[in-house]
Amino acid sequence: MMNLWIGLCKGAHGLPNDFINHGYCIRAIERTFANSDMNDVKPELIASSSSLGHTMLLEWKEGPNTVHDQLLRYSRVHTEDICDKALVPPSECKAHDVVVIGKLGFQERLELGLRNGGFPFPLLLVGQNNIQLAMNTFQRSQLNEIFQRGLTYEPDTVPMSYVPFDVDSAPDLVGESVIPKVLEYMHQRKSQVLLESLCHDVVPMYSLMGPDYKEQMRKKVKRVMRKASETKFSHYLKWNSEAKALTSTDTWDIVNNPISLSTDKRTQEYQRLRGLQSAFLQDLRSGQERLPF
Amino acid sequence: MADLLDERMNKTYAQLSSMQELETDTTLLKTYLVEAHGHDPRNGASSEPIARAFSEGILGDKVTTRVSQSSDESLMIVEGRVKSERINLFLDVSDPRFWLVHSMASSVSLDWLFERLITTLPEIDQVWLPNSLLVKIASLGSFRGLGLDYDRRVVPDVDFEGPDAPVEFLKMQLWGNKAAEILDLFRFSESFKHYTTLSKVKIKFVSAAVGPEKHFTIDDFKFNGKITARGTSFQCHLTLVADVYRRYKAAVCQLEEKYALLWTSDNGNIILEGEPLVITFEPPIADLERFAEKLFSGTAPFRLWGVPTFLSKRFCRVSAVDLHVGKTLSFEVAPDFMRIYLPKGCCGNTILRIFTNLQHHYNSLVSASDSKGSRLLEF
Repeated sequence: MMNLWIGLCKGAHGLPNDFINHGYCIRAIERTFANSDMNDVKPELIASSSSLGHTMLLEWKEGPNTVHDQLLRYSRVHTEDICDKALVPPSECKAHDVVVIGKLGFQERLELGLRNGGFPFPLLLVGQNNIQLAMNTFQRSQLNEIFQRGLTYEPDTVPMSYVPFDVDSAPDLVGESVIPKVLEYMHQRKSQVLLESLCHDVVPMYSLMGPDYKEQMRKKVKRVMRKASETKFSHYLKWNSEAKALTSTDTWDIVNNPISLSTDKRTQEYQRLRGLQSAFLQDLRSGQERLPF
Repeated sequence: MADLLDERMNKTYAQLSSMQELETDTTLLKTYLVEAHGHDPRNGASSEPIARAFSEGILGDKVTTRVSQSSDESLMIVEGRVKSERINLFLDVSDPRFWLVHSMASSVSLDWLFERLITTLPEIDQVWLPNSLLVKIASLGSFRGLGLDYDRRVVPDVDFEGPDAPVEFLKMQLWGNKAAEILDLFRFSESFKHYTTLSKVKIKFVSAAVGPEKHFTIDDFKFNGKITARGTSFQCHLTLVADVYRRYKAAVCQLEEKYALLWTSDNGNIILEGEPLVITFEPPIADLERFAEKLFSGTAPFRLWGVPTFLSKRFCRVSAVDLHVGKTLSFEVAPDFMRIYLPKGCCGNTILRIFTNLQHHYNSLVSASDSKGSRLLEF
């Protein structure tokens, strides 16, 4: 969902241009700020437009239920909170909407959550190839027009790689990013892979996120690295249990590096690594490679 | 250097003209456009990376070289021997990232030397002049010749025995004044427009800034950045090369500065700078699986290593490594487009390599644009 909305605001081949035409841009991702009661809210994404003087606080729901307390906190967000605490320029937050986004299959439950709390937030439902306004309206008629007719897109054109994985992603998505980065380290003739550096390099926004998020991502990346070094990539990577005392982070030694081989052998080794990566991802997907801890 | 090369160019041309002889390779000036992306511009034009590049450790024991700095600090001189031939190279590093290397040595030695440099050193690459830039070069002077080079067998996503099979292979060389007409004939022909990829153009160039018409250069520009010059004026040659290189550098820098992706923070807000680039395929890729398999196989000419993840029959994503520079970048590929996420710090020349090779090995009409559809790499 994050990738889709970034694509809608930044433009992506195959996605409609409505948001770009109205001047929306991404202002913040996963930003925590206080409402007028000084209680925190943390929309997944804040998008705003100076031409419409409007800000959207996007909150998406993977499951069927809304969380009443969370929506209550959102209802206590005033425009000045968005300017002063979420740091959106005043020209872009003359009005705002909290936008709840969920899956089409959960329409009934999501509507119930909003209705029971008396929340006026627009509810957008995401189907196979469109996003439709299901309940309530936006503060700006232009957005009502877009979503009442339905914002249609080709599913096979949605960008996936702005944020390749997040804390909720399956291990194979992590593996898709982590192993190529290890190959990059090999190319740079590094002798070790440090978990903290790896997270910086493969997790978008890692350095900008809070400690809880970082910890979750470290665990996620570590599990995949442990598994890689214990199974398919054991010829290349070895977990160094003693190095942490020096490096202050989990550390793997690069014990065999194709870059140190002659050109011919290096090419063969790259092919071998490619085969291993394919098998590793396959195993992660099928669950054969049970992740430690 | 300029005086020496000008004299050599002039002398050679005058002799050959009077004798009505075809030139031999060793009488011609060669200029190679070399991109040194590992160079830290803060270090200026230092001789250290050049000395390292031309060392025996990199080039092997068939080469002996000595690198020295000329009185002009942006000019390095490499003297030495490649196999049995004595060579002299003049490296103009006034732009420390985009080198100009001039030499009168034989193509055999020079091509071997640069091939060796590029395959051994990840921070050194050739330039990749796409079709549109070679067409532009042809318009900068009197268009005297061309080479076409298209080989679809490198990306075999179609059955070449089928009734609607595309052209497998098209190579052509033409020298003479009909070059423009022949090129247009192919470029605008329904049968050949998808396969008309220039590998070389030859032009006669006279620079008003340099002097009267008797001062000219006749240059062959190859898509790999090798330029062979003959004529009466080294200054004309330099003027032309500088113009072409300026366009190329601007394209590479634009890709890196405007489109490379970086997550950053501004006043507490998370900002995403840059956007993916889009390469459009018309007609669409026939067999996406075979196409992706070849493109990300890690082999030449693309040198991209990755395992495609197919989300449907019509869409895959790939976290890949450019094996030349050793940097990761991400791709999403559908039959009619390919989205490339170039991270900040990755080399824009990689995009030119992918784009140019797709023109040579897939379809000469592939085009590049930004996410909003504005065309790029048009020159």
